This record gives sequence, C-alpha cells and structure tokens, in this order.
Amino acid sequence: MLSTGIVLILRAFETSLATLAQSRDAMWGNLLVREIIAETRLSLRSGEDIRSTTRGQAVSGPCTDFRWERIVEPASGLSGIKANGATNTLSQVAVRVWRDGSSREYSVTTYLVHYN
Amino acid sequence: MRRGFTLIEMLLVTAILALATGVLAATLGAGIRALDTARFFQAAECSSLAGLEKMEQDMSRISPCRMLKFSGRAMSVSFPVMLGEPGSDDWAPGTARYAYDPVEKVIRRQVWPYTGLEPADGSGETVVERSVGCRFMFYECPDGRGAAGTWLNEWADGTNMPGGVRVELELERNTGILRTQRTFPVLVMVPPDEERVNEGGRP
Repeated sequence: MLSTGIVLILRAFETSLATLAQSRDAMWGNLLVREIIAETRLSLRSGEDIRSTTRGQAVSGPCTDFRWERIVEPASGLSGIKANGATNTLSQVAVRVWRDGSSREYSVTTYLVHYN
Repeated sequence: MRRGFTLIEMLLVTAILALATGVLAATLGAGIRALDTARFFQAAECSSLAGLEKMEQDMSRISPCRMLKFSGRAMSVSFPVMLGEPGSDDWAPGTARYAYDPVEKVIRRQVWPYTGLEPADGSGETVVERSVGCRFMFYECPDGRGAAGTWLNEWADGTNMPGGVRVELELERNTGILRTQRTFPVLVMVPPDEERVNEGGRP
C-alpha cells in the first residue's frame, strides 16, 4: 500500500510538472508567433521584399531552443483593398514555431495588407 | 516449529522503511516547493505579458488627432489614442502613456481624455510587475522601398509617428533574469467613411 501510494504521488507530481512545462511552452510559442507576425507587418509596411521562406531561432524569452519558419506569399487570388484611392497588396503569412525534441508545434496563417 | 521474524529483523526493516520514506518525503517536499515557486513566477510572467496586451490594443487604436503628439523615450512612451467604444458617447481622442518605474519595478498605464487633466506621476494601472529592466524602442520606416527600417531609442518627431514600438523587458524570476521583447505595429484608426473595400472588383 505504501509503495502504491508513493508511486501514485510521484506520478501526480510528474503530471503536474509536465503540464506546467507544456503550458509555458504554449505561451512562449504563441508569443514568438505573434512577435514574428508583428515584425513581418513592419517589414511589409517598409516595403521590404520578403516573398520567401525564412527560418530562425528564438533569441529572447526562456526557450531559446524554439525554432521558427515563416512563409510569405502574395495572395494574388484575392481582391485588393482600396483605401484613400490607393490599392494595397495582400500577403499570406504562415508562421510555424516548434521546439527541438518536441512533437508539438504552434502555427498561424494570416493575411497582412501593405501599401503600394 | 514455525519460525517468524525476530524483533531485530523487524526493527531493522522498520528503520530502513522510515529512512526511505523520510528521504522521499523530503525530496518530494522540496520538489513541491520548487513547483510552487515556479508557478508563482509563471503566474507573474503571464500577468505581465497579459498586461502588455493592453499596450498592443492601445497601439492598434492610435488617434489621427494632430493636436496630440507621439512622444517616445527609453523608459516611457505617450501617444494619442481613441478612447471608449466606437460609436459610443465616450468615443473621443485622448492620450495613453506607458511609463517604467525602476524603483517599484513596474510599468504603469495612464490614460486621459484630450479635454481632461494629465494624471500625476505614480498613478495609473500597473500592467507589468517584477520587471528589473525595461526599454522602449521606436521603428523608423525607411525612406525608400527595399531598405530596412531603423530602431531608435527616442522618438521626438512631432509630425510623424513610428511604424512600431518595441518593449524589451527583463523580468525577475526564481532562476534569474528573463529577457523578452514584444513588438507592436502602430495602427492609426481611420474613420469608416474613408475606407472602401473591394471597389472595382479587381486589385
């Protein structure tokens, strides 16, 4: 009975530790995705030509072993948005973030408008 | 004759069991305390990062009011912002200011309407706690296309606004200092009657 109890307590402890680590990974993974999208928005706004696939590694936050991949493609099949007489360009931005040695990944695909 | 365990054997087994249980309980206790500390700091981390969401929201509703200027320094930033809900009576331009207090180790948010009085220093809502370092940076869009923008330590241009604002934070943790950053694009709110969507049918 004692050994069963000890094993159960250790299992519960291990589960709570794993859950804490997963929730932390999810939080920082999602923040990294948002950070990359924010920087992409600034680059597109500046008129940088970033129609390509870019890969990198997290440089801040607690999990510097996070890796990321960003794919920016012009959304040519969609209508442009006219504002104040100028036609803007729509880009599809897909960002994927994962951690080395983990099967879990966090990804977002969104559309960003930038000015011509 | 049936032979059982002697008293010495029983005492020995009990002593070994007590020792093993004691070591296990101490290890588990230390582990649970470490887990509690980690949870405490993670909660503080979550709270700080959630507080910065407010900054992102404010940055996405910058007011085009030309009477209010964008002003950025290393430890504070203030900018014109639309207050209230669109269409409501309190929908009006105002000013939002985020300032780092190195003594209290917090970032405070102060918001006041255009016609209102500027709040006193030290007042306002605390959005980030346990921050031992903080620096604001401001994105200057390049002059020509194809060039990269520049991150500046100060924004003193009263006519234009930066393309974005970056906050570099050093959060206090149980295991040391956690460095992180958030980037917020500056989005100026345009009145709805100036937007036309899909006019003409083709891009």
